[in-house]
Amino acid sequence: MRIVIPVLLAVAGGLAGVLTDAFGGRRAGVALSAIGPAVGAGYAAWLVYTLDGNVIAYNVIVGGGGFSGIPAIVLALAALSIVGGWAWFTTSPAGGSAAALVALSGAAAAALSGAVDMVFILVALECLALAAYALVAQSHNARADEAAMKYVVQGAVATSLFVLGTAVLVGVYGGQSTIFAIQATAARAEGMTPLAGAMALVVAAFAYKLGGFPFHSWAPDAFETAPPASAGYMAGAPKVAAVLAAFLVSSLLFGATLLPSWQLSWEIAGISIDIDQPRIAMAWAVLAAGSMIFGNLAALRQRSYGRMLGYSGIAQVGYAMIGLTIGERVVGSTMLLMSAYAFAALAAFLGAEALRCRRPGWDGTIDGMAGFGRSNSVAGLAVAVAMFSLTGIPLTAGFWGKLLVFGAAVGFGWTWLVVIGVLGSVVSFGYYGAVLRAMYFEPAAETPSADEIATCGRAATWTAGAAALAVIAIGITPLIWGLEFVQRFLAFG
Amino acid sequence: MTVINVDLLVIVPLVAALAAAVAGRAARWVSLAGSVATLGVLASLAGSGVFTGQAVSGAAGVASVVPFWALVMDGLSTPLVALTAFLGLIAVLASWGVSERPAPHHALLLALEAAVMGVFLAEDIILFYVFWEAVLIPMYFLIGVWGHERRRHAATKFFLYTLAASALMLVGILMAWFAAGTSRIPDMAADPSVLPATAVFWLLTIGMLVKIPVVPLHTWLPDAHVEAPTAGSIMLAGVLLKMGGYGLIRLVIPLAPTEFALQQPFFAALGIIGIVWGAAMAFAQTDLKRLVAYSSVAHMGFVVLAISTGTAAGLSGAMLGMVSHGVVAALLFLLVGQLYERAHTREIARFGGLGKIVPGWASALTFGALASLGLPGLSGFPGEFVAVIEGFRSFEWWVLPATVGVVLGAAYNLRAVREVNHGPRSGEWATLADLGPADWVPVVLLMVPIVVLGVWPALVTDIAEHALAAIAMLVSGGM
Repeated sequence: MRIVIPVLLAVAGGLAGVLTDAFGGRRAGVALSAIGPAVGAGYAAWLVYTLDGNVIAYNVIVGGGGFSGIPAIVLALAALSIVGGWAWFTTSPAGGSAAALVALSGAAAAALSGAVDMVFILVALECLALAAYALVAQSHNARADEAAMKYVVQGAVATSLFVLGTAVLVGVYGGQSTIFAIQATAARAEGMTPLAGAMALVVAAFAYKLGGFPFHSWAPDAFETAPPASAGYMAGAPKVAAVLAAFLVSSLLFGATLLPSWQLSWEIAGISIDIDQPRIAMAWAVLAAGSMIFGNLAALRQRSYGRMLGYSGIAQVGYAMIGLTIGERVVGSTMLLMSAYAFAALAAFLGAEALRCRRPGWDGTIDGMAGFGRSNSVAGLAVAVAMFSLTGIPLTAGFWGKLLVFGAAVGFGWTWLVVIGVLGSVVSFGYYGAVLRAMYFEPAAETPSADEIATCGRAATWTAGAAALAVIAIGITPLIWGLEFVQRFLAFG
Repeated sequence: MTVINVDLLVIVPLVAALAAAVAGRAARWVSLAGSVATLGVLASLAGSGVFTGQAVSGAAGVASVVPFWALVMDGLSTPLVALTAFLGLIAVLASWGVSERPAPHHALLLALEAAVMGVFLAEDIILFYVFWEAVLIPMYFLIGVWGHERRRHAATKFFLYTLAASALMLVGILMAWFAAGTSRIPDMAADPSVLPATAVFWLLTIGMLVKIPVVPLHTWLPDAHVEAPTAGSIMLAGVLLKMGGYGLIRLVIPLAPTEFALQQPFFAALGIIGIVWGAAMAFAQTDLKRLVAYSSVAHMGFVVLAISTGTAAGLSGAMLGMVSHGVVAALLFLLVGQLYERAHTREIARFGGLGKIVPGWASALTFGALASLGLPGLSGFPGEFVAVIEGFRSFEWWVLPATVGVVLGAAYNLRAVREVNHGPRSGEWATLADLGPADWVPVVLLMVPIVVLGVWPALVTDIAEHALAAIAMLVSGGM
């Protein structure tokens, strides 16, 4: 039962935070909201090293190994984003409850990582979504309201798809909602129509939640309008957890043993094309290709930093979907890719928070970041590291994620996806590089006074620096000590 | 085993880079110490026989439990490692006077040196790729922050162009890694028949050809060279281009020898096109730095031609050509940089009669031009001579156009010398200052190997002999 303690700690932190805030203790409240997930993350990390193998609690959630490693990562992301957004959370009108929401959302993400019950997964996804809707609306302006509404409506569609899929699975296959029970019944059942239908519904729902093409249109608005500190959390942690859940569901319920391969062959102009792949793999492969192509090309056209990160997130999810295409053999590598993305996104958004603090008139564009790397070297470096890691340049964590996932994909015969992935990564430097270009190659627009430098955005700066340092550390240490440390943290037995 | 090991060749410049980054005004002294220490490490390796072509592994490579970190210095890498260490020092001296943000400038130079060292030393293909890409980061910032007018465009173009090529190379590396089941280059090369030869060959080759670069994949080069600060141009022309030639010899031939043997005429054609095109373009330039940049395309064309022969002698010629071009291009870029610092223009047409005004600089330029056109007795000659001779043995009269390139090489170099150094004295430069003692140090340092290699090319070829003979055996099929 120890494995749910991290979730409970984060929930306790969030509740204590919102209560303290209600009685006027804003700073203490935000601090409690950060401490809850931080302690939870520490405990989960400790579980990784003390639990032998995987254990299941209450028949709904698995822990141990990577199933405790991912909760540790998402809770750490929640805690870091609260600390990094300290200035915003402690001063903005609804900042106290926003911090609590981040803590509670972290708890939901931690619960989702390792959930093995369809109804439990649904509830965890909904908790994540509810917190996210509220966080998007935090900026209290017309654009934020519109973005939040768009997000709510589209999220509702995703939820209904997931509910329908779950209803089919539970209704047709024995009335139990545990994945293992459904799996066992489905293996004995004849015909596969209901299972294939449920697969389409559930995969589409996950694609919505992950913001993959063509279910992505809420994402750029949401990331652009949310306050950077919470956007940094939202862009990463919930997706990390959702990818792990998608892995469990798609490999346990819709894997090749239950759903036979999809065989097609046709001839075009003398070239015969044969497809013989598991249905679930084809579904993810199409989504992956679409997300990588669309996300990268759309991000290229953005002037706004937040929107650029939003669209690039679509491409990043596309890379993770290559992992989903291959299946359970690459869970660890894919989770490394997603975790690297989440930390880099956090550093990128917190860097923006530091910039906004430094230049209150910043219009949110990439051009408006001119000279930022020269005027705030720590936050600038953090953003630069994030951009290199998101591109997948060596010496960053992002490189290992992409290397391992792409390498496995080549090995399992998905070279065409890898080609799209690497070309997409090259294209992505077009927009990630634009940020570097603005920050370092252009002169700074204004120089703030010494006082401002001393205090403003300090928390965001140093937290972004810490996240970037983690990205670099995971990028360099495997060269010398190998990937064992990482693999241990992300071992999925 | 030796006490000072190969790993230090990467670690020392890297540590010095970190120190320089925080050293503030003392950065240039830190970086001087760092580059001299790197040369010291190299010299200390002499006892282990690297300069006779012996292979020496880094400590981690010996332990072999380490997944990726494996360095080896053998006959193939030693000449280029020495070139890198030497030009690392020259680049530091060339940027002695950098006044804009000197600390990050010097830090990036040393980081660049460390990364290039890693490329030449990596025994593991993943580590090789890591260093290969890591080279881009410092170079990108060096061009983008400290470059000339069009630096933003040049930096982005350089990064995107080479990133695209190396992304394809990564796919090839992944295919080879997966098929071989190991990422150690010698183990992969032990049985190349298990690799998907065609795909691996072409994907790796594209990565190398863009880096060298060959025509028509060269268009990033003139921009990057011209816009880069002097030290950046020195490193770019001096060592970064060599990564491509080295990669062809170290990776492409051993991993896909039969495919390479089939494609030898293709490489020869690329080499010859590069020689003629580069020389013709150099002849047409009005900007002195652009002229030197295009001459790099021509010189690297000779290297590709030499590699295409696949013979031991041809590969030695390529190695010589790379080392020689490294020092000659470094000298020319250094001189152009010194002129630009004083005159703030590089327009050939605006100069004239500099031989009278700045005799020291002008004679150094003449020396550099003679080395570049391949005057016998200077380092440019033996490598390119061997390239043409071996090319003739393999491809007979097809190499004839390369000799046109040789003539053009003489033409553009001598034209530059004539128009800049001779002719009527242009009044606007009457007060131009000649080279001071500090300027002379790197110039003289670069002249020494140009003369030494010109009269004693065996200095390089003896080191590389055994390694290259083994590779030539792979091409001829006599395992």
